[in-house]
Amino acid sequence: MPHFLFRPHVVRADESVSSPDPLLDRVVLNTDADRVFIPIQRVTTATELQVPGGTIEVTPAAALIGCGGGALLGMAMLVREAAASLQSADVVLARRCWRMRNVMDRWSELSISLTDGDQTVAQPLADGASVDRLTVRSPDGEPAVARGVAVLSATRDTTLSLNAPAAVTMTLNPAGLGQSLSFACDLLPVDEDPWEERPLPRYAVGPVEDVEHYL
Amino acid sequence: MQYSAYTATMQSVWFSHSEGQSWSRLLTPLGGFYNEARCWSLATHPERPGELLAGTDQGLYRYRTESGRFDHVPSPMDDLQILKIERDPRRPETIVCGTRPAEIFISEDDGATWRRSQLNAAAECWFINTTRVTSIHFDPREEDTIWITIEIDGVFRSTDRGRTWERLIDGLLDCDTHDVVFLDHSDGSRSILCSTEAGLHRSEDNGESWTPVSVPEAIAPWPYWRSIKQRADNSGVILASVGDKPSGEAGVCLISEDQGQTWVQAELSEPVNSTIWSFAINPADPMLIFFITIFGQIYRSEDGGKRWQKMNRELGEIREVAWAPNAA
Repeated sequence: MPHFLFRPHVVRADESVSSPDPLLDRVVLNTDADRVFIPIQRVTTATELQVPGGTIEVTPAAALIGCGGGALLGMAMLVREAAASLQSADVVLARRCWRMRNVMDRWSELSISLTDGDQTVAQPLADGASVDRLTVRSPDGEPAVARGVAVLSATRDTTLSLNAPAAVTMTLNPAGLGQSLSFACDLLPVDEDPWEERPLPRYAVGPVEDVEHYL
Repeated sequence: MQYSAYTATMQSVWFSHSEGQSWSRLLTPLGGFYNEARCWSLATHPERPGELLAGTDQGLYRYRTESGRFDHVPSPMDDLQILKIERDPRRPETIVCGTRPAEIFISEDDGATWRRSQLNAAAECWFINTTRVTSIHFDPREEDTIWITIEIDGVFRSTDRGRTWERLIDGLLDCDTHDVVFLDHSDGSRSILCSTEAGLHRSEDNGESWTPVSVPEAIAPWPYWRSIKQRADNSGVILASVGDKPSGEAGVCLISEDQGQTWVQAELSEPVNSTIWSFAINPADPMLIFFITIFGQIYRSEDGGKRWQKMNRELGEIREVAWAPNAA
């Protein structure tokens, strides 16, 4: 079973950080219309993404991640060609997260905004699927997400249409904690080469016999 | 008997063909991976002298004497730390790897294909953030049973070759488990010893429950028990390492000649600089044993673990040591 090794930076209210590394192997996207699964190999935490020419659509999503110390709440960008299905989107996960339990009381105040500098869209999390639909309950009553699972929640009409190159920034706030989460990603046209003249690779030759200090 | 010794270090795998006196690693140009690759684990082959599996930060590699290089073994573990590798001594084509995060990957065709086991180990740990596999054991008596220890989550046992697992932690003072040793007695009963960061534990009911073992502080000055191995002649002689902490600045090597009932400190040619992290035993010569400290020292015993001679060469940070006979 393929997996993605997620390396979140979980920020606590006191700004301290924990860094568990859960394996993810299942991504389920909940929208206002339906629920689809996205192949795990589409997930990345890259801050630069190559995208096809033409119009690109970027949809922000809340990302709920199963983790042993309590489910994580973070953000994802769903990046796809215009008119392509959400199931075919690249999923760009932000590494900075909160622990869900620390912000659950403020779920109704949480909103993810996405901007390319010119346009801005925002998705109040309460407009998406309910927490009860997105999560299960742990034995102690907390919202939980199963091991290896990332649950995304997005609304289809909260989408930016843009043309690469573009720099998009996603922010999750306010949490009432004096904090926000922010993630920026550069979308670069796949057919444009920023290096005007690309040289052939060179070959360097070091010592051609055994060198004792290398052993 | 001529033999080779191997160490997995934070700077590749080192080979000794001189009984541990001198060590070298493969040259980067043709070695198969770069000389600063972080290597965590090793496994020799019981039937193919000179063959070695190495678990790294960039995947699993196989060394063969004939090729003189490490060849990458495609697996789902390329982005994980492969912390332990164990071959089934009865069916060497079965390989079990343990990783960080704590997952188990199993191949039953000598590494050609792999499956990830459904191991419900803790996915997060308050103390070390991400749990990891610290040891893997094929049960010496039950052919389909595999045991693993996880830091920090306890002892796990599978009776169906890794398809399902049960967690065995009843009585453990701490789930920071490092290693286990099986003592199968002639009357059919069994004792299991388990090393943890909170001391040694013993089970008389095949792991269903554990009882802390009291060892005098004069013998084991600290509670941090790390590696534990039975000498390869199954004589009931057990070696164990106790350190001041991980990675530590001091440690002792303990030996028990009565199946873990009493312990004494083994005689070292000089004190260790950190916790002893790994012992290397091999049934080809049960009296020949190596141990390494995590901070680079290598010791060799030729009398079954009573007396140890430090090798002159040190190798930075070492995680595992192994040895095996050369081809005849």
